[in-house]
Amino acid sequence: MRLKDAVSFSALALLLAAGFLPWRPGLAACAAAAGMAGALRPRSLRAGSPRFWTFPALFFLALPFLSPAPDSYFLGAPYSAARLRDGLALLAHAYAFTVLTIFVSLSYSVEEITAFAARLGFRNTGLKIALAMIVLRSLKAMLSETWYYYSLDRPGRRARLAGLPVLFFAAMRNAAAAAEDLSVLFYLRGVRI
Amino acid sequence: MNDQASRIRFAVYTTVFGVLWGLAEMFLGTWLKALNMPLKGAVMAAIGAVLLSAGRVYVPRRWSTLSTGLVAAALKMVSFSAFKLGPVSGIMIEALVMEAVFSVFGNGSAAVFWATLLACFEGVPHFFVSNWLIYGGGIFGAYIDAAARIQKMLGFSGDMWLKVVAVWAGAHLLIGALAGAGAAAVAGRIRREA
Repeated sequence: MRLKDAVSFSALALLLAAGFLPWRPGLAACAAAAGMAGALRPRSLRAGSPRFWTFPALFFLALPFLSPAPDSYFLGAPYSAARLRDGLALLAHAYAFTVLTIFVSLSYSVEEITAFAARLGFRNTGLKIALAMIVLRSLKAMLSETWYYYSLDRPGRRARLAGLPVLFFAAMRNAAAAAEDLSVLFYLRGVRI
Repeated sequence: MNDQASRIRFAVYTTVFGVLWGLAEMFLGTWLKALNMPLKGAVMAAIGAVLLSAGRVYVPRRWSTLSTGLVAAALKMVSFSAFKLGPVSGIMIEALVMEAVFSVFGNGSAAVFWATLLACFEGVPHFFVSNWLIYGGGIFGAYIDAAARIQKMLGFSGDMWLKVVAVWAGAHLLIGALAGAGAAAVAGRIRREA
């Protein structure tokens, strides 16, 4: 097993275990998971922007002061030390989870995912990725053209909103027509799947 | 249709419908998120479920729905709103749920309706499971504490948070039922036109 695979599986196991453990060993498991990922890919430790963490941090730091059972005081304000401890453990879990997600996305290429999918029995994954890239451009063009004629026919927000099912069905039928054309082309060209 | 033509049709249709859903997720999903629209997950699930149902009618073969979902999830993974594990896993679970319903009950109107409804309702258990995975087991105690405190501050009595959860779950069911009726109508129209 390669080192990055071993780190991915061990960190994931630690993170899942942390969900069941009391706060102190749970915190240690989260730190170990993030530490392992960070040791191999230091960039993964820069998980999320400060803006991303502002709301969860404020929420978990404010929560002890809202607790119905305060047991300590901070600058004269009653708060629950137990709830603060829990909140820090939850934040640590969220941080370790984000680090692990970034670690995985930094560590595995599209080719490796394709090979892994093939080992699982999804043999046409590579072909589908290539096909998706081709189809993406033509579907984008088709959708913008459908939208152009649809909005030309229905001036005003209300009329456009009322006709949404028609737009939806038209987009779907055009996509199906594109799929049929591609299928025929692949068949005539003798593409083996 | 021979076996090779059928395999080509399977690969191409599932990719095209997956890309269509992926595009909807990339653009509409990102736009709804920017608007902070409530129940955006259920709305996006409804759109995806209608597309999956239509795809299943065009390619009525086992695994075609799951295959379509995998393409959409792969596209969402590389979308410009950065890597989002929640929506990606949501897409895959939704495809898996619909695949299971279609595989067991076929792709008639009733199966299309129930598969779509279930796919839209998936957001409710998904919220609990994903919160547990991200924050750990203590998160629900923290939520209930915060809700109880806010409820007390606003002067509401009883378990107000339970009512909020019930309304939220009910809204998912309503969106699912409306989308289910729409998906059944679309599937019926495709069958008639074929």
